Amino acid sequence: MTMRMLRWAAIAALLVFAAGLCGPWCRPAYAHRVSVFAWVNGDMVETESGFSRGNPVVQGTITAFDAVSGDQLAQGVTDAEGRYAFPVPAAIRGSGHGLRIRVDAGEGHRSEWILDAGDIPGSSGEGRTLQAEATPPSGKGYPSPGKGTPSPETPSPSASMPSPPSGMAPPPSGTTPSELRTILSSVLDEKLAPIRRSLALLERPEPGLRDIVGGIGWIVGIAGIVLYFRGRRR
Amino acid sequence: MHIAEGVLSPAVLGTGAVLTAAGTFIGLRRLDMNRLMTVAMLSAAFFVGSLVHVPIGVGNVHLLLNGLLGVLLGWAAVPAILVALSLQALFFQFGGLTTLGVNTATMGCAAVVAGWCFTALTGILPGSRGLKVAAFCGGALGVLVAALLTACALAGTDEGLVVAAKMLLVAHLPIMFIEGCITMLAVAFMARVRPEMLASRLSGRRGHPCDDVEDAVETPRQERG
Repeated sequence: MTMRMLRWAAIAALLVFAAGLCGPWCRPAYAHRVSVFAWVNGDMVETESGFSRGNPVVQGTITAFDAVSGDQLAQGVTDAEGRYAFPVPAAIRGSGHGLRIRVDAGEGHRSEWILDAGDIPGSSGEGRTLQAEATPPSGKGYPSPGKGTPSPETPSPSASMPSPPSGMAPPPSGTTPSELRTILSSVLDEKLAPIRRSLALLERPEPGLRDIVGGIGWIVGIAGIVLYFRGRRR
Repeated sequence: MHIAEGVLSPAVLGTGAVLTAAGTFIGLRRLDMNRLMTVAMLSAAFFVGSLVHVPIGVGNVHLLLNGLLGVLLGWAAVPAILVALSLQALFFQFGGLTTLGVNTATMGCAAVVAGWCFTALTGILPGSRGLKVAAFCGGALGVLVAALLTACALAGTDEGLVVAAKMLLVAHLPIMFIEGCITMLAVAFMARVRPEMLASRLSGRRGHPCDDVEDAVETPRQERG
């Protein structure tokens, strides 16, 4: 009897071992779970959809809804890398609503991602839109110069350079604070996009060894509990 | 074959839940408590099997193993699949809790059909070769029926029955073959190592190859033990 139990334990262990081996080895799969991630890059909402283990959703349908009212705002099809980008819908700007982004990958695969209102430019008080840059927040010591007005106090790169003679237009390299903010925000968006993407990915972790072993433990545990109560009844 | 949440209509979800409840009830009624650990082991195998991806064919799909469960367990495969799918939904977000009924129904019904096929074929084809053929057919049929039933469940969506069925069948053709082989190997192994486990699945006939094999393996086991 013990031999048989040992054999069963060996079979179970082999199965788990095989799964663990095949898991990381096998090519990304087209199966059970689909995920969609979305983040804002400048004025675009970028989305990336993938099946579990990183295979992209090709030709999947992306639909964006107003998270509060449920109106459909944008729709499109993912490319070969599972990406699809669309401009931030005008209807969502300033409404204070978030975006609900859904991917339909066929055969019953569907997933959603909520983009918070705070992430969407123009939806809250201080957005990253160009319109908001026209009036920089006061208290930061910025004068609010019009375009083309020379301003020696400007804390822009041009300030460190020899100041141009007064009465002349700023040199071509000179930028006004508002232009600088625009450039910085676009550069930052570009630099931060991969970080936003990996943060989004972190929210849907792949099943790990702990989950697998835990699940097997649960199944054996349930059987054990049933057997325990059966044994008491006798 | 894990249908996600929010895809299906309430009517389909309800039908799936009712079918699963009925199947689980029958499965638990017919479950021999002495075989409970076997059911648990196979449930665990089903749970892990979905993580094994097979990189062949049009789409890489994962193992189902529902045919194997049906062949070895019969109706008891339904509660085993229900437990494994619940844990997959909770731990891995495969499928979802609302679609648990439909997913269990598609894979569980397919498992029961595979079990019937196995029992019927072993009746028609005698000998150890017949056993293997029956096991192969059972394993492959489990996947086939599961794919067809999943397509039926998806018939109400905007994708439509025909497209869904075509996609699912093409993607699962290699899986059918692989699972047929797995089931065949598992049953052949079982016939050598634990023939009494198969006996209850073989419509109580005497003179089956399993009985001979049991006698044959009894001697070495005693030597070892």
